[in-house]
This record gives sequence, C-alpha cells and structure tokens, in this order.
Amino acid sequence: MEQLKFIGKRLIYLAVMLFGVATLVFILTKMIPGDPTVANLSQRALSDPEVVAAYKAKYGLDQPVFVQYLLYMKNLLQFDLGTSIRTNKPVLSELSRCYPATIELALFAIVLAAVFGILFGIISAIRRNSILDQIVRAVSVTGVSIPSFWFALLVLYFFYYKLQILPGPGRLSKAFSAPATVTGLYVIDSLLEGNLPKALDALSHLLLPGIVLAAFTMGLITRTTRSNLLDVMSMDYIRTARAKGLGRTALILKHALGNALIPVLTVIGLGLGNLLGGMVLVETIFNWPGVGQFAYESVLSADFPAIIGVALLIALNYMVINTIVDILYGVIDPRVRCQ
Amino acid sequence: MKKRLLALAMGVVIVLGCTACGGGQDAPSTEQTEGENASNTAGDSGSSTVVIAMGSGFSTLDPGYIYEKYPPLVINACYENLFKFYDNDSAPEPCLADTYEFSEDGMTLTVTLKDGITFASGNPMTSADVLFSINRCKNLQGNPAFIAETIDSMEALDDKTIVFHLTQADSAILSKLTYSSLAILDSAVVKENGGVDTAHASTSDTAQAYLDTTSAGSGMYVMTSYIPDEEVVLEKNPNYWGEATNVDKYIVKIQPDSNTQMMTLSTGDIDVALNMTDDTMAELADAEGVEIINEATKTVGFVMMNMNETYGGPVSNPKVQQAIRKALDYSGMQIICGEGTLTPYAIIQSGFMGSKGERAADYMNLEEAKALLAEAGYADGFDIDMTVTDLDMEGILLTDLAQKIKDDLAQVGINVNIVAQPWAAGYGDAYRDGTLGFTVMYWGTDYNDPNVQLEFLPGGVVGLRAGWTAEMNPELAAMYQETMAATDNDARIAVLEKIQDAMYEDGPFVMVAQAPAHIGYNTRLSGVAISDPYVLDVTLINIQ
Amino acid sequence: MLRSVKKMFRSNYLFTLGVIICLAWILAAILAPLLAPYDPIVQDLTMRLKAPSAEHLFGTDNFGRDIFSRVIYGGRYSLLAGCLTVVIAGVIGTFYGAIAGYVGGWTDNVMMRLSEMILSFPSLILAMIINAVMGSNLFNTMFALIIVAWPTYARLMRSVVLSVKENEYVTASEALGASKIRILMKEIIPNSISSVLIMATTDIGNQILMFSTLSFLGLGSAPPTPEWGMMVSDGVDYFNKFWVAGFPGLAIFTMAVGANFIGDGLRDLLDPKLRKEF
Repeated sequence: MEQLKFIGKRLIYLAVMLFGVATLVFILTKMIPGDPTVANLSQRALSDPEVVAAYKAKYGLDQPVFVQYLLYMKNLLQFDLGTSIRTNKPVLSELSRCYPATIELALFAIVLAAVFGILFGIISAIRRNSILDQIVRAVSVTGVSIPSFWFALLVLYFFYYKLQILPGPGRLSKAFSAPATVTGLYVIDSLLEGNLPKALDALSHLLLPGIVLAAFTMGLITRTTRSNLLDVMSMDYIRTARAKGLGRTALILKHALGNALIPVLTVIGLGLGNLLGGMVLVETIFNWPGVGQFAYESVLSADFPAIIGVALLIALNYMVINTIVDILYGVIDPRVRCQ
Repeated sequence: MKKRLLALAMGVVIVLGCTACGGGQDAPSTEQTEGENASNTAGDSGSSTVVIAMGSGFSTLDPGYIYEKYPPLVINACYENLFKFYDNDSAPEPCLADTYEFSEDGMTLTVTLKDGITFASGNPMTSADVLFSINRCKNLQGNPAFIAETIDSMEALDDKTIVFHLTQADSAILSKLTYSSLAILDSAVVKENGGVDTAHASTSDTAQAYLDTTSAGSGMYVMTSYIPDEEVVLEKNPNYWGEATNVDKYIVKIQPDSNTQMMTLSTGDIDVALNMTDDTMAELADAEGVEIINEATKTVGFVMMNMNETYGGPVSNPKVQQAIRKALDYSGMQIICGEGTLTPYAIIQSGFMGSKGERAADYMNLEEAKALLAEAGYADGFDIDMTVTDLDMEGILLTDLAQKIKDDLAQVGINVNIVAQPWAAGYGDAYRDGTLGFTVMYWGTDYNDPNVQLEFLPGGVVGLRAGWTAEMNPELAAMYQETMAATDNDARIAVLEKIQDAMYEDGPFVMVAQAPAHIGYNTRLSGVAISDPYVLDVTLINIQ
Repeated sequence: MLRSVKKMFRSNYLFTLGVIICLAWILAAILAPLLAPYDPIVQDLTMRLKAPSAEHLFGTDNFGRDIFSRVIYGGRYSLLAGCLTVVIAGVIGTFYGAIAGYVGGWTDNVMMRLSEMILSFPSLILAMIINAVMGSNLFNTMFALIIVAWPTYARLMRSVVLSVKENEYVTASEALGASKIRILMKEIIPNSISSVLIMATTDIGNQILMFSTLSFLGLGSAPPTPEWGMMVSDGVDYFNKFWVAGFPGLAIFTMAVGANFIGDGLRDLLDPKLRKEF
C-alpha cells in the first residue's frame, strides 16, 4: 500500500516537473534573438513579406508570445506536442522515429559499460595497488577524460578507414534496407524478421558508436565498483566470513558484491539516463538518426515545438529512470523504505 | 539475486514498452519496403541499379514547397516541366512543351503540349494539370512561390494549349518554367490527396504529407520509398511516355560522411558520390574505375559592405570598398575553396549566358589598396567587426572564407574582428533587414538564369541588404527592368555586359569565389555531369 | 610535513603524473609566446596541410598555420574555461545547496525542484540554446557551462548539509541564539566544504571536455582563435591528414587526464571514507 502511495506521489511530482521543464524551455527558446522563419525560408523568400506572413500564420508565430504559450500548453495537456516548424511533421511522430535509434545505441552502450565496468572494478579491488589495479585505473580515467568526438574520429579512422574491420557510419550497410518496424531496434526487428545476416550487420554497426559512448560511463562504473567493493570488504561481516574459512572468490561473489553494487546501480541509472538523452556528437559523426541529432537540428532552426518535445522526452526519461532506481533501492535495501 | 533480476526485467519491459508505443506511428513508406526487402537483401540486385550518395537530406519533396539544394535531383527524376535544361550552360529547351510562342510585346506566352504524355498513374496530361500545378505553387505562398511572380494569370485554350499572361516582358520566363517547383503534377492524384490550387491554398492544401513520400509526376522514375535522412528509392516508371535510360532503379543514400562516400565509391558499393572534397579526392587519385569531375558551380561567395554609414562605418566609403577589392587575395581564396574554384568578373557568374568570365588573375594590388585607404583618410588602417554565420557554401565554411579575408586585410592595415553568429539566432534577421555592416555570405542561384543575379543591383533584394538603394545609382538600378524586358538574347547579353562593367570596380559587393562541385563516379556510367539546376541529371545517365 | 608530502607523491603514481601534466600545461599556457615557434594566426597558403616534420612538429592546417603553436596557445582557453567554470559554479552551487539544506521545508523543496529541472535537461542542448540566446564567444560559453554545472554542486552540498546540521556544534550554536546566516557561514559551510572541493577537482576535467565539445560545435570563441575543440572540428574535413584533428584532440585528452588523475588522487588521500554517491 505504501508503495502505491509512493508511486502516486511520484507521478504527480513528475507531471509538475514536466510542466516546469516545458515552460522553462519555451521561455528560453523564445529568448533566442531570431525566429524560425529565418531558419526555414530560403534567402529569397525572406524578403517577400507575403511569404513570411503566410509562414508565420501557418505556425501561429504571428500571435503574441503569451498566446503562443497558452496554445502550446493547451495542446500539451491533450498530449499533442505540436508540429515541427522545420520538418512540418508532428513532433510526436518525429520523436517516435528518432527515439528507437537512440534507445538501441544507449542500451548497447550501457550493457557494455556495466559489464566491463563492474568486471574491471572487481579486478581492481581484489588486486588493490598492484600493477593490474593501476592499469585498470588508468583505463577508467582514460574513459572519463577522452573527448567523445575525438575518440569517435579516432576509432573510425583506425577500425573503419585504415583496417577496415568494422563498418562505418550508419545503422545498416548499403546492402540492407531497414527491417519492418516492430520495436525500432534494428537488431531485434531483424531477428523478428528472421533475417540473421541483417541482425548481425546491425549489431556490427552498433559496436563503434557503442564503445565510444560506453567509455565515459564505464570509467565511472569501474571507479564506483572499486571503491564500494573496497569499502564493503573491510566491513565486519566479511571478516567474519573470512574467519569462517570461506575462499576469496566465493566470498566476493556471495557476500560482498551484492551490497557493493547498490550504489553502482545509481551510476548505471544515471548513465542510461544520460545516454537516452541522445549524444549529439556521436550521433552526428556516426550518422545515427537519433534524438541527439534531431535536437541539434532543432536548436539550429530555433524550432521551439521540436526543442520542447525533445526536452520533455529527455526529462521524462531521466525522471522515469530515477524513479525506477529509487523503487529498486526500496526493493533491495529495506532500510531505505523506512525513510 | 532474484530481486535484482526482477528489477532488471522490470526495466527492460518498461523500455520495450516505450519503444513499442513509439514504433506504432510510422511513415507509410517503411511498409512499402517490405516487398523491397527480398530483392534488396539479395545483395547488389544487379547492375541496373545505380546507387548515389548524397550529403544531406531534405525537409520536403513537395514541389510546391521545395527550396533546398537536393530535392531537384529527385524531382527531376520523377516529374517533368514544360521546359528543361539539357545542358548546364545553355538555354532552356522544350521538354513537355511541343511549341511555344511569345507575343510581340512579350507579355503573352503560348505553349502547346506534346501529344501522348501520360503520368505514372496512367492519367493523360492535359493543360488542366499545367494550370493546377503552377497555380498551386503560386497560391501555397511557400518558399518557391516567387518563381511564378511574373505570371499574372493562365488560361487553357484547349486540352493541349496554355496561354500565360505575364505581368511584364520577362526574359527569364522559360528558365523559370524549368524550375522544380513548377513541375507538372498529376492533378487528379494530388487533388485526391488534399491538393488545392485556389487562392486560399496556403491554408487548405493538405497534400504535402502525401507528396513528401510519393511522387505524382510524368517523369522517368517513380519514388517508391523514402526514409527521412536515410534513403530515397526511385524505380523506373512503367508508364513512361518517352524514351527511358537503361537504369532501372536509383537508390539515393543520404551519407553526410565524405570519407564513407569516398570509401564506398572506391569499393564499388556506390556508383556516384556527390560530395567529394579535396581531402577525399586526393585519396582516390590512383583508384581504378573511378572518375572525378571538378567544376565551378554558380553558387558564389561574396563580401558585402553596407553603404549606410551607421552600419558599415568605414566600409560604407566607396574608396575603402575599392581598397578592399584590391586587397583580397583571390587566388589564395581559390586554393582554400578547392580545385575548380574560380573568381567571377563581376556579379554574373561564369557559365551564365552573358557572363564576362573571370576576374583578372593579377587583380590584387596591395600598394593601390593602401593608397586608396590613405585617400579615404585611413592611412593607418582601421578596426572593424565582420559578422559571419555558421552556414557553408557547397561544403566550404563561411568562417574559413572570413579567416582568409581577415588575413588578407591585415596586410593593408585593416584589423578585422570575426564575430560568429548563428543563422537562426540573429544573423538571418540582420541580413534580411539590412543591418549587417560587414560580412561574407553566399548566394545560391534560385533558378538557372542570369536574371537571378539582378538582385545584386541597387534596389534589388540583396542590394537593399547592403543598404544600396535605387536612388543611389538610378542608372544602374534601371538596368534591372531593362534586362528583364530584353527578351532578345543578344539585347540581354548587351545589358548584362554593361552591368558587369559598371560593377567591376564599384559597389558594395566583392564576388570572391564560385564554389566548386566535386563529383566522383564509377566509370561504368556515362552521362554523369555536374548540373546546377538538378545537382545531377539522372535522366541523362546510362550504364555502359 | 615534507616527508608526508613526499610519501603522498611516491605512493600514488597516477596523482604524481597528473600533477606533472597539469603543471606542464599551465606553464605552456603562461609561456606560450616564448615556446611557440610561429604565430598561431598568421596564414601561409604555400605550407598548407604539411605532415609533421622538423619545422612543424605537429604539421600545418588548411591555412598553413603551425599546429604546434596553436596547440600551445590553445591551452589558455581550455584551462581558463575549465577552472573558472568550476570555481564559479562551485561557489554558486555551494551557497544555493547550503541554504536549501539548512533552511529546509518548502524553500528546500522548491529550490531543489528548480535545480532538478536544469539537471534533467541534456547539458549540451541547454548550452547550445543559451549560446544561441546570448551570442557566441568565450565568456558566453563559460556562462552556459556554469548554468549547466551549478545544480550538481548544489545537490551535493545540500545532502552533506542535511547531515551536518544535526551535529552538536550546530545545535549548540542555535541554542545560543546565533543567527541562521552566521551559523551557515561559520559552522555549516566550513564543515561541509571538503566533499565539494573533492568534487570540484574531479569536475575540472569534465568542464574542460564540455568546453571543448561546445567549441567543436562552433560555440566557443570566433575563429581564428586557436581553441582546441574548434581545431578538431577543422580537422574533420581533412580526416586523412590525421594531424590536424589528432594533436588538438590529444591535447584535450592529456589535460583532462591530468586533471582527473589529480582529482582521483586527492579524493583517495583526503577522504578515503567518502565513497557514497549523493
């Protein structure tokens, strides 16, 4: 019961926050000293007052700002995100076109980051202060320090261009057409289609951008796992188990790891939230048609319905994940529930 | 352990739930590709498919709304116009038109259609379709509506004859009729899908969504699939009324990465790469089976100096303007822009009818420039801001041009401070409103006719952006109308040459460089050429 | 004292390495006019895109400018942006979080919701929008970075303050009748500051990366300023001349690595017990 109340409160809070984000972004976008007509009309048409007037009327830009705001909010309450001024298509359909691409990449990257991050963190903690530890720490700091756009160019240059062992930018090779959409995740959709070569091709296209995106989060996860594990390993109950004669590996896997990983969950959650926000640079360099690229193009055109749409999507992401993590904490660690 | 697995499963279910909801709304085109999948995944589906790599996508493929660079490639493949440019540098020739005739005063143009023209749907083409298409473009009041400005009204004398009543004698009307926005639409099909050509079309037409994904024309190809930002598939029109090439299918892939274009071209995965660069071309120097074309387009970069002292400051002074003209290193600019670049003589680009070609290679003269500055009272030079925006001219960054200009002007004591301003965040507005003092910008030709350049005259659209009003030079300003009315080619060329002579060393514009296009293609194709109006005219390409 | 400092350096290779790297960059930035063999802005089109050689250690770019000189001068902007952003965001966040945590109740709620709204927005996009609103130059970019960065400090400070304010010395001051502001300044903040300091040192690396990312997108200073991010973006068009994008990117990487090594090392040294995420 109290879990239901908890969820209920969360939902209300979510709604208020989304409203706040939409308002904030609306204000910000309107502060941009330029307007969408400039971004979406040709040079010639700009000087033709009739064309400009028709354009403005079409998108409601000729009305006072406050009226535009009210109209937008009214539509928002009916789950209508408006029409993108740049592409002339409903923002909702544009987002549902881009979002699956970002989801696929984000999931792949976070799995990569979590698996390797936790693994490295364990190795580093067990072999504390050894050479292995120093190497792992160097690698995790590298992951956290490398500029993603440069890393992307680097891996493309070596693995795609010079060595030609991995495919280049894009989600699929030229030989394949996009699979019929079920989830929007190409690997899964290709498998559902029964087309294994296409699924493998989609997977291979995920590798390079996935590695680039995973780097930062992996560094964080390694660091957090290591320090939490070290913390837990120095606690009394571990020493007791040790005294009882339990072998080292069993010790770690059974007793220490479970508790140590709880805070790591937060990092993974935050990392996933970040990645689902779409990484503009990686998507642009790898020609990945996701939310990041869409957001970037929208900002360049001062396309406020699209910008707000993206903002809401990402804010929703972030809050949903936060909520899930909080709930998971409550499930896993009973102490949290009492607060 | 169990709890963690449960938590993980919850997370996965929620995410999949989101994507399932998201995946529900789809553009109809992806359903169409299900049929295509079989033939596509059989690897390269035979040599009668040509794959083209294109650097950026488009917002719309509806002829009534297009305004970007690449849509004409697709529209030229799927639709046809009354007239067409079969050659980049020559005059427009009849395409759907059979005969045409101007009245004595040039105010009326009568065009008859060829016999036996049918649309891809099977519907025969009549004058009603012509009227519908052109009226729709006009009345939508979209980006390309201006092109039909000089058409006052039209009437259909019979099924095959159209009479255009012009607002004035227009020497460029035939060129305008070649433009993609005046492509002839299958009016029956378009009306079925919400197309409207009446006066309130801008608010009542709903056909754009349809035309963005399906073509409704009479051209050699039909658009069978369009995935935004990914690819467009064009297949041969089975009901084509004319003589088709031997290419059955075009896959136009949107591939912004020039290195990928280069690599896939060299492996044969694509046949035409539209966006080669100096860097990627150097890599292909020894490649077999690959040819590269480097040619100047009619897109031109220019320096603009505001004639109004409030905005232009020192550069509003004609002596300073000439000094800057003398100080720029044109050959250096050409190196920066890449192979094939040239500097036009004046405001009519080389390649246009009536152009006087290129500016003298030895025009730059730093001594003269300094002398002029001294005469103007700036013997010690001056400081000035140059506002530049984040656009690029055929792949050449305007900020790169600005950096070169800054370096050049530093040689004569002018200290330029580059101020970067995004197009949608202030620059576009200032440019349109004529408040920019000193800038470098580019101009893409709206349609393939020298008359587009008349906007650089005092009182013209671009002229006004530089604060150059008609009153400041009435004689020159009058040449706008003179050129428009000169329906006789020789007479028009004469006026154009007068204009170029007048602006060779005078005025607030310095035409710096005509941007080059670099196309790489597989030698199994013939007929590949750079086309200013269509980017690449696929109706001329054959497989050898 | 000296002995323990020596021990600190010896036992932690990475920390030492980090200090060396950062000192090297700081010196390079200060002594740039002496160290750089060429002017970073002057062009020479006869020397375009030359590979690294004895005359041009890092090669030349598409305007013939020496990349080595530009990289050295570029360090100034990255260092300035990284450090200044952290300092200002840290100060703002510290006060904001301390007030929210100490005052509590509705004030706390509202203040934290506001900071969360900023946090839930993708930082890059927010920075782009702010830049679009204000125009693009070094200070506006830093302003955008600060706006995006301060909420994290605020949240950290608040969570630390929440536990500190229950401490005896605070309740004692309250009992004595000291004003809230006085308690804030004298007891709360000084005792909570160490975690913020630790986060700040690790954040410098992050801000350097964010700054170079914005600069890569063209949102930093106007050209021809030799900002590293922008240099990498120039190099993308000349991908096969790997030195144009390679060396500036390497510079960003090494500076961030150095800052992160220092941050990590400091964290290990100063507060070995503090492993909790906020």
